[in-house]
Amino acid sequence: MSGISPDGDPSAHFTHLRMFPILQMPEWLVETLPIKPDLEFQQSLFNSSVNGYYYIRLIDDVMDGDRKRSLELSILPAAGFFCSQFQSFYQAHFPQQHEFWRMFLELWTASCESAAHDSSLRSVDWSEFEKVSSRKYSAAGIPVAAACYYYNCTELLAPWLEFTNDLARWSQMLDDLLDWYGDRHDQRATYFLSEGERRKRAGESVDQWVAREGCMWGFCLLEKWMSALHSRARELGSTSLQAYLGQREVWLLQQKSEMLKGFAAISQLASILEQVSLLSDAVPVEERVPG
Amino acid sequence: MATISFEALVEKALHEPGFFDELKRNPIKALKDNGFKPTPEVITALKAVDFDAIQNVAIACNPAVGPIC
Repeated sequence: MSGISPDGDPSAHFTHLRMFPILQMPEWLVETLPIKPDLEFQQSLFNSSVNGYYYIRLIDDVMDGDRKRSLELSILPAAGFFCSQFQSFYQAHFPQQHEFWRMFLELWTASCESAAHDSSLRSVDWSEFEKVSSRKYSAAGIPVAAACYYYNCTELLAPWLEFTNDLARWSQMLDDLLDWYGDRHDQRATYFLSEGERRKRAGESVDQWVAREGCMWGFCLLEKWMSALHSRARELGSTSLQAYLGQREVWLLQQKSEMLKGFAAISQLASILEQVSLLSDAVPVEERVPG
Repeated sequence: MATISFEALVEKALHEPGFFDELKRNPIKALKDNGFKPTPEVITALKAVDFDAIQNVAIACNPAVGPIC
């Protein structure tokens, strides 16, 4: 758990700005309701989501075949524990015949199917990104749905699940963009890299495409989608959600600026080092005689 | 003579950002260590490169963290 936490601290993992806000989503929904939240239920959602996250992450890391494969395989049986904990918190609040379980099954199945389908793709087009890659996050809608059923506000189910899907699409694209190098190295097909293969010039590598226009293209797409997320968040009425999006937008602009400046400098350096080989017969600095 | 491709520079930027410390501090030695003969033109050109920006790419992408979304 420490190894996969952004700062090596599992307790800060779920509040990291790059993290999908699975713990906060139900809180933001409840914030819009004229009720006093049931703290025991809210805590159950937290516990369930933390366990669900580790279950999905463990499976995902094994499927990705990351470098710590032997460690991941050795702890794979823990997935059973995380999965049972993820469900048991809901079992304490919803009887077997409750409508919640139909929604649970629908979202959980969509998430599992998308993860399996996504891993088999060798190239990802827009349609597959929309219908498959982004849907891996469907399970993030489960605690949102639970809150809707528990607080009897099922009319909010559709708009909040739609927002969850839109935020999932944005998060998946951001993940594709920031992890492009590792994905390419490990031969994982993503929408971003697939677009790179389609858009790069003849004789150009995907790395060069990323530096020349791919990085900018990806960030522009994310900014456009962020604008739509802001509009939806206003409609949903949660000020905390709007504040969260504002923070992510600021962070996004910083990342964009740093990556674009960095790629420009790498291109400049590559061009200089290319000249070095052409100037290989030139007299080196220390061999020149002054005057 | 060895050459450093664009792809190799990207690899170094993400996984070996310390490589650029040497290019920034002591470009003559860094070039020699990598099989290049340093020339005044190249040294001057290197002084204009924003090495901090290159090293910040590693922080922005943070490959050591992996996917956490």
